[in-house]
Amino acid sequence: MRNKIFVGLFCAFILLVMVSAPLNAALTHAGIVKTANVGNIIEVEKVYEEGSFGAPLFNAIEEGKRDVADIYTNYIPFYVGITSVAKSTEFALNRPFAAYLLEKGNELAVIAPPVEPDKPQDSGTGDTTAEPVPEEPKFTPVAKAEYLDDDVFYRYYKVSVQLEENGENEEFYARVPGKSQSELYDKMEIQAAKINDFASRVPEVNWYVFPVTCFEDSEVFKNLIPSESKHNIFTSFLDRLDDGIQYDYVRIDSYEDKLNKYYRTDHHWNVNGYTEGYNRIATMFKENYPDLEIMEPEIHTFDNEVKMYGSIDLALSDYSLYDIFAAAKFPLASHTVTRDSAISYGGTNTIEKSFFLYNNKLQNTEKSYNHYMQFYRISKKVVYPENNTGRNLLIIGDSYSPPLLEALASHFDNTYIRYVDNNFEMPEYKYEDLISEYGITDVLLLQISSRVYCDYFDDSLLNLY
Amino acid sequence: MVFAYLPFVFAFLPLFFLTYYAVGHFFGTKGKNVVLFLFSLVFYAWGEPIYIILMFYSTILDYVCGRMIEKGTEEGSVLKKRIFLTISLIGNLGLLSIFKYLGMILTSINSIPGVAIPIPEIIMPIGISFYTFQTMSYSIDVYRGKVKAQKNIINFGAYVAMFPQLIAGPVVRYETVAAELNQRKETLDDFAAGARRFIIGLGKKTLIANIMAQTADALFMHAPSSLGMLGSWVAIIAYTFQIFFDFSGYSDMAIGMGRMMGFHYLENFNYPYIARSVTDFWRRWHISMSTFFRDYIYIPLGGSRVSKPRWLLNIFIVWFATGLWHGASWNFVIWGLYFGLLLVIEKVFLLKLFEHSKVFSHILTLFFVVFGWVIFTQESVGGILEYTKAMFGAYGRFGTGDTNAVLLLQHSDVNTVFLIALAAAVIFSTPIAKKIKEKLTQKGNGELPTAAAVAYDVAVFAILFLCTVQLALGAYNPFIYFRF
Repeated sequence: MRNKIFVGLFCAFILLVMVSAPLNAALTHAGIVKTANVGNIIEVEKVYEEGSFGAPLFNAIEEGKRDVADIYTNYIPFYVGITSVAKSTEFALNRPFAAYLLEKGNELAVIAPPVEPDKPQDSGTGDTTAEPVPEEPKFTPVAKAEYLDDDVFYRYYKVSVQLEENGENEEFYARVPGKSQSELYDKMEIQAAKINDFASRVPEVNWYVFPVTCFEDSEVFKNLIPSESKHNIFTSFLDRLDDGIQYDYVRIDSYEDKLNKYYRTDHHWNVNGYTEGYNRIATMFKENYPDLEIMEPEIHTFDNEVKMYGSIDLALSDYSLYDIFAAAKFPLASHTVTRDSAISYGGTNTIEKSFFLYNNKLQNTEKSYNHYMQFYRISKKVVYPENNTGRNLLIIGDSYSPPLLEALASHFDNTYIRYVDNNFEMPEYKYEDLISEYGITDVLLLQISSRVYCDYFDDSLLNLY
Repeated sequence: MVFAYLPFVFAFLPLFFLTYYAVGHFFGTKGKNVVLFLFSLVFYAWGEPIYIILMFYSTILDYVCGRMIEKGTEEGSVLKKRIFLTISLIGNLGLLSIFKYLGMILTSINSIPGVAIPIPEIIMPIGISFYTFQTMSYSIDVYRGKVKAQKNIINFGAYVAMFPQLIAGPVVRYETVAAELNQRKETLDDFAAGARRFIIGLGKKTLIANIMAQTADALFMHAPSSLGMLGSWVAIIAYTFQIFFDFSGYSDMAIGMGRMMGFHYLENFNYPYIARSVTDFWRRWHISMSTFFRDYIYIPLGGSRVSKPRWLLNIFIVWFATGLWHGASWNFVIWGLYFGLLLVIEKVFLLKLFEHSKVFSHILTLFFVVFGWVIFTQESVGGILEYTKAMFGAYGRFGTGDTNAVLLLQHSDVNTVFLIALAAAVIFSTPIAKKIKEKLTQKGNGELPTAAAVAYDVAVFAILFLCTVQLALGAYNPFIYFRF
């Protein structure tokens, strides 16, 4: 009897999943049911080179295998719920021991390598003679970090903090490059030299470097998790930039700054972050072009109804935190945008269409839908035909650039954008050729800080010159 | 395909058993063997379709050789028997040499100054070490007259390709399943016992070995100098449990699935980490492989019934082969010879010393085994020495790298889940659960008391559920661009 019941239950469970997964997939594809989608990708295990023996057949087999694996992963009933609950449980279980190890590890940590004294964190050029700024007494916030997980590139922490501003407790995620400090430091030295070298080869153009600061670059973070801090490397990089290269970055001087300017569940900057970014970049432009007028954008919060589950939620499969998405609308003159069909973060709408959809609550509400990535589109060229500035801009960007492109381009006649992102097949071109071909007068490096200061993904200066 | 894979558990396996029992209902054992053979080919092709040719080659070669050897026996022609045995051995060992050892051989030759032979890129076919050994044992056993040659090529193909033990053993000798290949009967009790065993094996692999592997793999990526004493010991202990629960988990799943279709494979592990000597360890670890080497190499060489120097030579030949079987790299050979040396030392005097203290013998044996895994995991002699230095404090407690070992542990998933898995690994490396079950069974007059039986089955289902969750998590891979 015992065996009968056991076998009955065992077979029922296995057969239930066996049948329900493909059924769920079929019904989802037919639009009859809706299956939660977290963008989980099942990749083909192998790709047989074209022209090799049996390649068409073997590639078809591989795709068939991928499809089967996709059905028996993403369409297993409650897949998203199961992974999400499992991850949350795992994090909760790990919390005490993770806290112990982090504390112990930080006690033992030696912040390596030794770096040169920090330079004052102002915008400026590579001039290193500035006077040090005396430190002011600071409020010491009650903050703690909890190690959660890692992947190929990053380690993920959850930070809990009591804010100085209002005494409220807030939580957010921090995503930190996983490579060692000495490795990053070495890469930083090479990268700074490369940028200086490139700028010196094309001295007739104005050079702007705008590494989009991440939390780990800040001094606040350095006090929170010293062993993971990139502050010294970041400041050493800025120190190394030659005179004549203008640079600036978004400030994260407090937890309030972090929460105000960046998403708590996504690694990108939010509307406040990128409008500050715009302001700082435009101010750098203005130093060379005093007639330039800096715009004041209008911020749309869409009635605070657009919940965004950011990239870190997705990476951790934990949806307990979320952000409210908002977007900035700049008062732009008429212009034309040429899209980049080779690169897409998913956004297909014009900004006007995005605003229309969101204002009318017609936006996609899937948890996996990253509003930041989808709201803006990737452009290749922006032209303001009525401008007559005689200036042309080249932006070397990545996923941090799209919200700003059209606004930054409004100060130039023609703006050309090249994305550097090894998620996509990189086109073959030389920046130096682009500069002469398009009559570029200004070059802006506008990317995530780690890509700018240490070529973290080994793609930053691909084909740079 | 591997067993710890959602499409295997929820698509391949149920589809196989539905077809197997449906066809078996109408066509009996022969029909079941056809289904087993065809599904095994699909299972094998899932990993590398082209290498299915090798499976056919091995099947046909040994089927023909087996028949011809038997014919030779019937005709009284020793020459014929020897010729076909030789063809079988050369055919199988040749296959192994090309697909497993050619790279190693050429790399070794290229280390001679002035020699630079191009090394072809050959991907090793999955399970080649297992199925070539199985088919060789078949030919040898037919030659020795221990078994009759299989007349039905589908039955023989089902034996060679049988998916439960195809990729990670155990090495199932033909004599073990010969009778069941021709005629077998499945029972509900066998199916239930097999399913329980399969789930327990899946649990060992998914809930213990994979968690240990995450940590071990992550830590092994760092230089021993960065790991220090703490990191190097944690890594090798994690690996010690990973390899046992991975391997024995696969064996459990194989034995379980075999039983679900009416085959009764022999046990492959018997709590090796409770061994009180290295000799004892090798009686408990990968039993099907050790007995294979004993029966097909050591004993034919004369075993211990020869002169002392010859006996020593025999031992080292066997352990050289054992090491080489585990991998095409010189560290595996060193690993094999290391155990050969330990066995000689034990036989000469250490076993006598071990008799005086069970605790001492157990601790020392465990140390020998764990250190063996250091040799097993380090690809060069330099690596072995560096790692050994780290274990014994040459790089301090926390290492001398950029990041101290405590943080390395954190970044290598040493967390509460790891500690729970480690505790489970320690407990289930011993026969505690087995002994409790035996005691309860004795109390229940040969059967588990109802409450215990229900609790046991609930636990088994909980393992299946947790494995499903763990496999689902393992397959979680959100679109990578979000990470940039």
